[in-house]
Amino acid sequence: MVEYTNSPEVVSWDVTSKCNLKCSHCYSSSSIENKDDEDLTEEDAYRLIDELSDIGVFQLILLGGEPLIRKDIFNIIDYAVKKNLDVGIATNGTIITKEIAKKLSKYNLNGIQVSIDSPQAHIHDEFRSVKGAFHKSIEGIKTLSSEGNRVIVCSVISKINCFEIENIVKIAIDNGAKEFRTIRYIPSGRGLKEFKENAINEHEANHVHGELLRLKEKYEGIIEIASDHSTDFLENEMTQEFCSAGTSTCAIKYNGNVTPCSYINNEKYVCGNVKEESFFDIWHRKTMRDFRDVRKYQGKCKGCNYIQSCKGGCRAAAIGIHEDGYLPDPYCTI
Amino acid sequence: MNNLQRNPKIRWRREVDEVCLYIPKNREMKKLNNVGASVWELCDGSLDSKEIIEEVSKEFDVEANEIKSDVEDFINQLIQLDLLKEA
Ligand code: SF4
Ligand code: SF4
Repeated sequence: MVEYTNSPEVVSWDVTSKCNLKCSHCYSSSSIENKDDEDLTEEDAYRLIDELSDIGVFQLILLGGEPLIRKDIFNIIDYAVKKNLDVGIATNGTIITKEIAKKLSKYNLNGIQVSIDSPQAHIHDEFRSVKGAFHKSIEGIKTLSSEGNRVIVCSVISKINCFEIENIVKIAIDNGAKEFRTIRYIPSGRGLKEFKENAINEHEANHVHGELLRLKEKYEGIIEIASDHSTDFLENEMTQEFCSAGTSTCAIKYNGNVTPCSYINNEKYVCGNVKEESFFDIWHRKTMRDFRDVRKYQGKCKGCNYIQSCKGGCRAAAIGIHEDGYLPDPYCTI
Repeated sequence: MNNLQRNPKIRWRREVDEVCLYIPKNREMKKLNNVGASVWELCDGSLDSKEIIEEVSKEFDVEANEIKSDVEDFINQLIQLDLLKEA
């Protein structure tokens, strides 16, 4: 068994599966055609927030779909902030107006994350399946920043951008962002289809790792540069805690299903639904316990020296590729 | 001597053998274990550092003198990090 906290520190919630873009790497396969009748209602949301606050969850990250499409999103944010949750939000940035930016700034959110896939507009737009998305997102970053919001520019690292990171960082700086971070391309949702074409190889991962260290130093005091641990599988990094899914973080899908991580969609890993039962019960359920149980790991993870810290790497990636959370992360090069 | 009080902006909770802290200012999580967790819990504004050391020495069954300087250092660190205040 690995250690886990009595309730998660961070919960992410896909507040809707509707989105005005149709990104090729979207883990939740969101699109404008998706119906919103299965989304948690505003009342469900208040009940959920009450519980998360009561059980001591620290951070609530609102994801989607595009969270700002929800008409009641400001009521939800307002309620969560009042309940002492440190709220963050991820948006594609394309529908930000001055008014929205101003409203968001009132809440002193821990971060508003906007994704940029490439410093080249046409590549970003192609990835996002909507022409003009790049320029709208950049405008969104600028508007959010100018109203005092803490903007985080985020890039899903793939073959299309792994050698262009510095140019994305420069765009982030020029438009007032306070942080730049990377997320690995995870084979989940729509991202599964083109995983092979997009996933970086070991050589590219090494480059990204070195580049992030270099940029961190170069832009110190100008922009915070963070990377998630999954950008690399380098041996000297392996003693660090890798995946937090189900041990200190957890996810709630648009329809209330709870899985250990937002990127995990497979029905087998749905541990319960917050419309029907308490989140706390789900967190302590056997399916969640089994998910954490590294003794059940197979393949090269079985007997691997790094199992306690690595826990098999990104479980979402393993599930996406092998449909089995006890098998190794497909990026593992150990 | 002043009583010690947790910064009310810090969110925290007790786990079985540790205390988890969340510092919203820099979005940082910290874990305090054993003595550290007890010290944190005792900093509710009703005790000063001498009284906290006495409580901890009883709880862990050690002489107050043996833990005095470690606990004081720890308290000072928490004050410097703005996690504790002298009430
Ligand atoms: S074999 Fe498994 S546990 Fe070991 S480093 Fe690779 S993914 Fe992690
Ligand atoms: S499953 Fe992957 S994406 Fe989710 S927390 Fe773990 S490493 Fe991160």
